[in-house]
Amino acid sequence: MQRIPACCVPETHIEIDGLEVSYAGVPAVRVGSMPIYRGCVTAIVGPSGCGKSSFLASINRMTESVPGCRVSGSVRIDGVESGGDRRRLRSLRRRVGMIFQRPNPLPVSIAANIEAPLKDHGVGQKAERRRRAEQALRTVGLWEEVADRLHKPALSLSGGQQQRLCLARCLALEPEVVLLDEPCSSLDPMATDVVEQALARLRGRYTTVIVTHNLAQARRIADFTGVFWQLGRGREDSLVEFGSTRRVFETPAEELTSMYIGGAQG
Amino acid sequence: MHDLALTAKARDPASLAAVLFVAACWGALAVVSGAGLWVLGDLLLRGMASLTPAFLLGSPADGGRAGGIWPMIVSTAMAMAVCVAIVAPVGLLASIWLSEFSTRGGRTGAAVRVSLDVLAGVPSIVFGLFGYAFFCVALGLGPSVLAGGLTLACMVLPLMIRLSEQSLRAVPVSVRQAAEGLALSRWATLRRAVLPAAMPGVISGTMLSLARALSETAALLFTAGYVMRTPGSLDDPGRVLSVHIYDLAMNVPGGDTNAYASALVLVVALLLVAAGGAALAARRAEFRRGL
Repeated sequence: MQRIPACCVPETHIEIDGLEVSYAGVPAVRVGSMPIYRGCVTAIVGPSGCGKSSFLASINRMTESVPGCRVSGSVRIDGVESGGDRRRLRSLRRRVGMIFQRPNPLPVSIAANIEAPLKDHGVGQKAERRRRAEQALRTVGLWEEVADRLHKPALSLSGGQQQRLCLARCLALEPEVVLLDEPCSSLDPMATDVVEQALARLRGRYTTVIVTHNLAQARRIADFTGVFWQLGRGREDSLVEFGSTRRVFETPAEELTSMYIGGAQG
Repeated sequence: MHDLALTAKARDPASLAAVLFVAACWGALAVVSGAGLWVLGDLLLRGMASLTPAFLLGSPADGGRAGGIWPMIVSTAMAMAVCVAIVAPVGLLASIWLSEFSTRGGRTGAAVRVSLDVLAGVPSIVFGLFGYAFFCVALGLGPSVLAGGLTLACMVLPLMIRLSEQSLRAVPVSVRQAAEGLALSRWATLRRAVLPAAMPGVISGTMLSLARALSETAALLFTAGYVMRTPGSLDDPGRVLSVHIYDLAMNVPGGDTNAYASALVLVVALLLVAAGGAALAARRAEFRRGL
């Protein structure tokens, strides 16, 4: 498996520029500028309600289905503005997959969870769908656990297995970017560890953005970290600080960062 | 310690109200199930003795006082088959339109919903008259099991549509969100996400509607016919079980015993429909458990 060391020269994959997400006219998150580097894991951390999830959802435009939500500014993926009509939205979401806070397998079998989206996206041959499903399940370390019960309900799996199935389902569509919205928040530490191992295998192959409340997790798996904070009280930009995870955690440039990291650790 | 707390609680006036409330709940349950058991017991007591294979498979004689009910069983099955063949697909499609395609808060959807609710409350005899005027006379079907089944379908469709729309709307947001995150097409979202989640409810709704159709008399009096012959095809008239019971009880002196036995058969058929529906729904529910 190829693995790009975090120290090599990073190449921008997604560029955020003057992004603002607001709900019913109230801005929830505003990011002046932030790069997301290709093949790296970028963690978004910060207190509850600081707009991390809204920021993440604006990358694959999941924000569009939220009533009253408005997004302005630009998100460029490989230099191309994201957004547009239904067809472009479809191709965008295929390229930019998303994993949600709570595992959300479809109420069909384990196999159908992966194969049905593939079929819907035009992978016509059954054998090819099978192959891709197996490959994706192997990548997330689930194949051995489910190989003999692929036609059982996906919802009969444990929480951690469900979340890895969702990840496999996303990977089978061969995305470039994987967005994860607190993927381990509903899992116990053991399941979290297994999901993290699966995430570690994505490094270098996919651009990964993960929102997390767990600073230790950010430290373990992220190459870069962005610290977010609530808007208001004079704060005009949600992004407090962005840099390599090591730099942000060891020598934070902003007082808020050191306070947040220190508070969360102490 | 534990006992002390309990006695203290029981003397509290607030918990006296709670005790009375619980007692009232149990009382209501006793009334409801008591009434049901009484009916069932009465039917068993008076009808069981006549319930023989000869009764089930024989032809009626002497105006129904003697003989069996085979022609009625066949008529009922045929009318039900017509009914379900219309209600299941039309009802499902209409409810999908209501929950998935009509604009949220739009006028058309609201108008359709109100009309359905009004239709669901229309007395069945009115559907009988409509069925007679439309299917039997205007379409020239005459009194036949086909016309009867179609009339039944008209009668129970509103109920079926509303029940299945409710199941579709009750599908958790997370399921739709998953489909959206995967950029599934509308068709795949329906086929792989929404329908599998709603299916147990849709099946229950269909079965409830069928049970309602099965026990219907008034709508069939003019539309399906009255004759006691076994219908050879859908075009033939036929007497369904409920009409037969009505006739034996009201118009045939000395028909009581066979009326009870026929009613017992009808109730067993209802139970079978309910059990079949529950089993079918449970099989589908396996895939959505934990949602």
